[in-house]
Amino acid sequence: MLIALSAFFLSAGTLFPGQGRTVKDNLHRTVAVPPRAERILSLQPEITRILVALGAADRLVGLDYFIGRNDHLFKFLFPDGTGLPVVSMPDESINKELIVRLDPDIIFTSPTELQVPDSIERSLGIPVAALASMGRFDGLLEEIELIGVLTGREERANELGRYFRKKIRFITESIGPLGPEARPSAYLAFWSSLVRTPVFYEPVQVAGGRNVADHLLPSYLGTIGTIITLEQLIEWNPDIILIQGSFLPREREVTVEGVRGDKRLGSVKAIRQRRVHYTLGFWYWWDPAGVLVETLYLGRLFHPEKFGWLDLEKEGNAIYEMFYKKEGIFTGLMKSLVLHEWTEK
Amino acid sequence: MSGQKNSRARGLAIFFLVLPLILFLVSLTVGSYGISPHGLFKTILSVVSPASHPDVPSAHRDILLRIRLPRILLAMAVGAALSVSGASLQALFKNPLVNEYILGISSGAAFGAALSLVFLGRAFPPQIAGFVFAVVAVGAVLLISGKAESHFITLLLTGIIVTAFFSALLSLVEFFASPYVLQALFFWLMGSLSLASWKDLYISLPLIAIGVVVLFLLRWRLNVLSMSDEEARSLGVNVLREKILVIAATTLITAAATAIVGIIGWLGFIVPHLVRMMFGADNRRVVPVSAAVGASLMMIADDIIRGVSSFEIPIGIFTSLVGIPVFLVLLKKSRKVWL
Repeated sequence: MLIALSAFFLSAGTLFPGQGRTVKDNLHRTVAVPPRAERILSLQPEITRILVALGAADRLVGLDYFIGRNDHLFKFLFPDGTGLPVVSMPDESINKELIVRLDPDIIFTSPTELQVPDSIERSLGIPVAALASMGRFDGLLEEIELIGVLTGREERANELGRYFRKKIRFITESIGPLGPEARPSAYLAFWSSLVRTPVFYEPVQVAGGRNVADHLLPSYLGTIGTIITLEQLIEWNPDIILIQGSFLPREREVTVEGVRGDKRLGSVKAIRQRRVHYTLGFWYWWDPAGVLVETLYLGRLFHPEKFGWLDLEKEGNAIYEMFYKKEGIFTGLMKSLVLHEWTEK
Repeated sequence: MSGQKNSRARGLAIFFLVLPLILFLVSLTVGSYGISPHGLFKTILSVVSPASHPDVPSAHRDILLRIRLPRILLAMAVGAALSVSGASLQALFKNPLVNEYILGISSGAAFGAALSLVFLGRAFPPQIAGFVFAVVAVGAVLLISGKAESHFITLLLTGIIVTAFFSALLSLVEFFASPYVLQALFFWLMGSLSLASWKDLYISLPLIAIGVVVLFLLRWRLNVLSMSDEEARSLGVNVLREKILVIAATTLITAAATAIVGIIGWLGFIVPHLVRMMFGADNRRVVPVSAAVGASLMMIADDIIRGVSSFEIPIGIFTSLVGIPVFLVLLKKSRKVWL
C-alpha cells in the first residue's frame, strides 16, 4: 500500500516520435519531456550526481543551493560545477529571472518541494519534473535511464544500470534467502532528528535487514519520512539503530554517542548491545555510488559472517571510480565524515 | 437564584482546577507502548521500592520516568504558561484580541531561539536568546505604538509589523543556516513535544514557574489595570510598574515555552476566551482557571497525538487545526466577548 502510494511512475511514460515522452513524476504530475535536453537545470542533487556520473555534467546550466554550496563531496566530483549559478534557496524560493536567463530545456526538482514544479511551469512554461528515487533502487535506476535518454548517453546509463544491478545481485546472493527472524531489525534516525525516519529504505531490505518503520505511511506526498514517538521506538526494540552519517561531524544534530548515552532509550536492545552506527542515508536523496557502498556496508553490519572478507574501502573506491571516474574518492569521503568504522578491516 | 449560579460557577471552577491532576494520571497511561493501568501501578511502586517489584521491565520504567513524565509535565507547563500569558495580556491591554503573537513576543522569541540554535549550537540554552529578542520585540511594539492601550488599532498594526519583521529575520536565519541545521530548525518550528526530556524541564520550568507565579500574584491587580489608568492610580496602583511586571512575566514565560517546544499556536488566545465565556471577566478567577484549562487542553491534545497512532503530528499544527474551529463554534454560540 505504502509503496503503491509513494511509487515512482516514471516507467509509465509514453513515447511520441520526435516529441520526447511523458513521464509521471513523484507528485503524480504528467510532464512532457523533450526528446533531448542540451540545457538542464537540476534543483535535485540526486539528478545532478547522475548527470555527472553519466558524463553529461556539461549540460548543467544551474544548481540547487545544497549541491551548489553545502555538498562537501560534489566539488571533488565535478570541480567545474562550483561556478554554476545557484537558482534555489533553502526556503524553497526560486530565482525565476535567473531561470529565464539560463533558458533550460527541462528542470528537475525534488518532490519534497510540493509547490515549486507547478509554480515554475505555470509562470515560465518550461517542463519541470519532480523526481527522486524515494528510497527505491528501481526509482534510482529509472532516473539514470531517463537522464541517459535525455542527454544521449544511453550507453553509459545502461552500463551504470548493469553495474548497479550486478552489485545488488551480488549482495543478495551473498546473503542468501533469509526468513524474517534472520533479518536484524533496524531503526533509521534521519533528517537531523532522532524521531524522523524513512518508511521505506531499500538498502536495509537488500542488505538482509528489516526496517521497523516499513509499514508506516509517509507524512505527506513527496516524502518518504514520518515522525514517530520515542515510545514507539522502545516498543519496536530494534536490534540496530542507524544514524544518518552523510553530514560532516560538526553538522550532526544526532550522533551515535548521543543516542548511545540517551537514558530514555536504555532498554532498547540496540543501545544495550551498543549497536548504534552511522549509515550514509539520504544526502538530499541519494548519491548512486554512495548508496551502493552503503548497501554493502549494511550487509556487513547485519551479517558479518557473510561479509567478513569484504574490504569496504577497496570496494568503495572501485564503486566511486566506476561512477565518477576518479580514484580514492571513498577514502577521502570516509575521512571527512570520520566514519572510521566503515573502513576498518 | 444568583447564589445558585455562583455555587455552580464555583463548582465548575473547582472541576477545572482539579482536571489537570486527573488528566495527568490519565496521560500516564496513554502512549503507543502499551502499559496497562495495573502495569503502570506496579512500575510506580517499583520506582519507590525497586526490590519489591524486580519483575517490572526496565522499558516500563524508562517510558514512565524518562519519556511520559517529562513530556506530560512539559505539556502542562507550556499549556498553563501560554494561557496565563494570553489572559494577562488581554486584561492589561483591555482587549480580547491581544496575545503574545500580536505583541510580537512569540516571533521575537522564535527568532532568538532559532538564532541561538543555528549559530550557537545546542549547548547554549535557546531560552536566553529567546527571552532577549522577545523583550526587544515587545519593547518595539510598545515604543512605536505609544499609548497603545487606548488606541488598539495602532497597537495591532504595530504588532503585525514587528511580527512580520521578526518573521523576516527568522527567514534570514534559515537562509544562512546549513541545510542540516535547517532540517532540525524546521522540525522545531512546527512545535513539538516529541523529544521532551528532563533537561528541557530543568531549564524551562523554573522560568515558566516564576512568570506564572508573578502573574498569579498580580491577578487582582489585573482587574484594576483593566480600568483606565486614572482609575487605577486613584486606587493606589503604580500603573507603570505593574504593567512592566506583567509584560516582563508574560515575555519570560512565552520565551521559555517557545524556546523549548517551538511555536504552539492559538492556545494563549483561545483559552482565556473560553474561560471568560464560562466565568466572566474577573481575573482573580480567569488567571488560575486559564492555567488549569490551558494545561488540560495541552495534555488532551498531546494524549490524542500519542495515543491515536504510532506516528506523531507536531502539536503546534494540531492545536491550530483543532483550536480554531472549536473557538469559532464557541464564539458563534455565545456571541459575546467579556473583559
